[in-house]
Amino acid sequence: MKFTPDQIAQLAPDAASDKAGQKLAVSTKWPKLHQNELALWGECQGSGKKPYKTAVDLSILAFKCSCPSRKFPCKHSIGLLYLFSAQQQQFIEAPLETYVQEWLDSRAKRAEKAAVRAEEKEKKPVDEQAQQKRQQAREKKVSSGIQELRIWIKDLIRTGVINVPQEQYHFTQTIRARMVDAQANGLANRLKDIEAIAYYKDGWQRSLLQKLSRLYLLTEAYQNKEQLSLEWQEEIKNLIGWSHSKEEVLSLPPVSDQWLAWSRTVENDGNINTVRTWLYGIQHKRYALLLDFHANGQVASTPLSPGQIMQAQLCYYPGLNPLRALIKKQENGTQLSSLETVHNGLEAISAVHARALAQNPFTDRIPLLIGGLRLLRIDGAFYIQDHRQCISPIGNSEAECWVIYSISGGNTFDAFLIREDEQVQLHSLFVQQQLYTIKWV
Amino acid sequence: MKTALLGTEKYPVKMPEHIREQANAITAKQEDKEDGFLQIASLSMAYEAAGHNHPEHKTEASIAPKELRSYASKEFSAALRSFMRQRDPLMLQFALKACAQKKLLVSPDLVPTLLQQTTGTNKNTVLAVCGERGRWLAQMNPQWAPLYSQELNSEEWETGSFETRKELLQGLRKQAPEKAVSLISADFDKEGAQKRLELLECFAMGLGPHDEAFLTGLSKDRSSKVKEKAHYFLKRIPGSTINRAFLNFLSSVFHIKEERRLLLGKKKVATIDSSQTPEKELFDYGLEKISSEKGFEDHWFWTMQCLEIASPQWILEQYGETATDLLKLLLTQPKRNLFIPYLIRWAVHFEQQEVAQLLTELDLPFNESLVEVLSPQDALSYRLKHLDQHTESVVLQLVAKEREFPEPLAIELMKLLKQKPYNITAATYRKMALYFPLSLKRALDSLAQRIGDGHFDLAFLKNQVTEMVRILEIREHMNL
Repeated sequence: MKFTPDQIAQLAPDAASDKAGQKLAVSTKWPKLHQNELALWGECQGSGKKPYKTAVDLSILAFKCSCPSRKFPCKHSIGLLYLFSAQQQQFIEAPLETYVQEWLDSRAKRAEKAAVRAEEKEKKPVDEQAQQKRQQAREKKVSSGIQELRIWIKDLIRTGVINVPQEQYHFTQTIRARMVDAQANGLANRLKDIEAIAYYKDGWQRSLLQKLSRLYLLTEAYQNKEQLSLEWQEEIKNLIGWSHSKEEVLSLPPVSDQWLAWSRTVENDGNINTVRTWLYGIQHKRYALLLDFHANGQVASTPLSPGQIMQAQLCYYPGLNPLRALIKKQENGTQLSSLETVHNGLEAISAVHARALAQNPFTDRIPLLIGGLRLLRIDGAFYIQDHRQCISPIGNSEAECWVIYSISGGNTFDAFLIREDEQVQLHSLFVQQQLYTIKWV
Repeated sequence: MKTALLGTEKYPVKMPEHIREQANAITAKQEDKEDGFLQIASLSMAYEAAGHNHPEHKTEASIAPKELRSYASKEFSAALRSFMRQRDPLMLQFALKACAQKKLLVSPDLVPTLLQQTTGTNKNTVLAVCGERGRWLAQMNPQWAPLYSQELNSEEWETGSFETRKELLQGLRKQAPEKAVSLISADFDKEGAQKRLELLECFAMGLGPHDEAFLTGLSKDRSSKVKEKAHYFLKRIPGSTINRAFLNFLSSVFHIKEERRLLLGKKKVATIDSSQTPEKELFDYGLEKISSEKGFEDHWFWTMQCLEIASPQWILEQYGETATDLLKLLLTQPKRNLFIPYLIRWAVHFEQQEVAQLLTELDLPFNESLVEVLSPQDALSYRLKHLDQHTESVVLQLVAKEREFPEPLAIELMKLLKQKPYNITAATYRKMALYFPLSLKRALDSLAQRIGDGHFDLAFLKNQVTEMVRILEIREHMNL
């Protein structure tokens, strides 16, 4: 697997590491450079006497370096990849050195152990009585939290939301903390979304009412869950905040496909970064969302680059039409050459949205690959237009819109987009056999 | 929506017509008014969203014209992105210039960022690499439109910041210097003294008779610095009143006579008529009265100030001597060292290659401005002669030319830097690498490997040479 400089830059934890890595991408810094179909490795002369031993696992991208850096991947790993990308001929084909072999073996062992652990966990007899007790206690906590939330929403509606913009930064603070106490994190997150509404823009009233009423509907659904199917009960619990362990998700039947990475966004919430990587299964024409949470200063554990295709098995989280997934097994990938669009025009967005709402009124994000779109600028605002000349405003920033305009040159294009909060955001474009990612952080 | 804004207490819930049946069912089972309202609102909004139709907007879409040039390679675009991401202006400008020189275009996704970041200095390069796509985008973006307008936008001149105004003026002085006068004269008085001076300095480019009236008007300027600058320029406008006054005085005070030597020989000598003194107005126009240099006799001092603005043509007509012969005559004078700064300025101002060449042969410190006048071969020899003492300035001057260093000079340079690595700064090493001959990469590479880490200056050299090799490798693999 050979990476392009753009892809390598995306793997770096920050711009400084990327720059430092590029500075190391010169053969004089590396007295030893080797390659093998499994890995790349080399020795980089640092300021100390002993050179740093750096290795890159090529089958499932992973890095190892003997340097003391806390950044991951470190500048040496990034430098090694840059050097390989520019001067592959400098790397001597050789059998794996002991330290590389040991590292690859330990990785393989760890993966094996995890699989065994998951299997053992599955086989391990469950203390059903204790489990039931725990579940009852949690449900009691959640139910009491939900009661309080319902009262809070009703009070708000009784007195009117006209004054909400004046206290937008803290008006959900107390009830949100209460939801966290009640172990209903899903509800706490929805309350946080309510604070994030752009109250300075026209139309905040509609957005606020939509989010409040949907949140209320969710509490209503929870209260009446006994009347719902098991699948729906599971979905409601997911939305309220019941989580699934990784082992549990990975034990579900996987979907094997060639997955194209088409968007990556990062949302910072104080100390925690939430990385959303969107994938598209080329054969099954199915979308998947990889969620990654990490503290500031750390990097996401899924090193994917824009436009990268990986052959992988993904396990979806349980629920109705799930999008969130975990990678179970990842293999080598290639670059995208062509893509077949399923939908054309804006009516497809409406149709898919209507279908999704009919199936699940709590649907937040709808990813779509749509063909035959064109960007238009009307009175200073940007819109997408389809073949029937129907238009829809887009939620991308102005800078992103100019990039889309420049890439498309006013011509039609295929795009990966996400419908969220009554807005459409273009995340990547496919123009003349080339994927341009608009949102990739 | 009104109910939500004012509250169910104040404004009763209105049943939505489109879901009346479902709303009635909800109301029948509602816990209270708020419960009913929230459920109906949720249903109504989902119903609306599910049936949403996008409005039609019939319009002729603007399509970007086809590019006349080819695009640079993907590798090059990746390198550009990396320079932009790393905020490395040195490499970015170098890459853009290389792209423009090869008449190639950058990938369209980079065009908006480049247009956004364009400054006056790199404008032409950026516009060249952005191609028709850039021009097309600028037609729609008022912020970028001025980049493509050939004519000066008067609104931009009136509303732009001082730096923008200065850039506009500089650009205009290059293209149509005579237009600059009408532009600047309208509100020149309203600017502060320092800004007036800075704007006036732009007149160095394209100075000519069309500027005389405006500059003469500045003789009454409130600021003495502005006045001095105006006189400085007026002196240099051939045929201007001040220029003529200076040359008249020169012709009256400075003479070339033939003297008999032995019985047969004749020799030309430069003489001064000490009875002549300048008119008061010459001092008003900027002729300095007394030199700060010890032993510089007043009449010679005045003569040299006037000679500085005398064209070789005027000298030939007045004295029947070429500029080179006049220089040789002046260099026979006992106080010749005092004349040197004036002679250098004279040679540079009138681009006299031979005079400059003669001056470089004297035992004088390195002078950057002389190199501009010399032939490439003479310039190379002059640089090599002074390489040791003036390494930094020699390198920077070569870099400013944006051409690959001559190989012999590059080799000499590296030999010198091996001995004295601190002769140039780390930033200059990087700049040098941009124009260093690629043929020397291997030699640099082996030099980097041979240098030990023993001493701090060796470590510095090793780091700089390694960085140079890296930049040479980037240049090699940029693969336009």
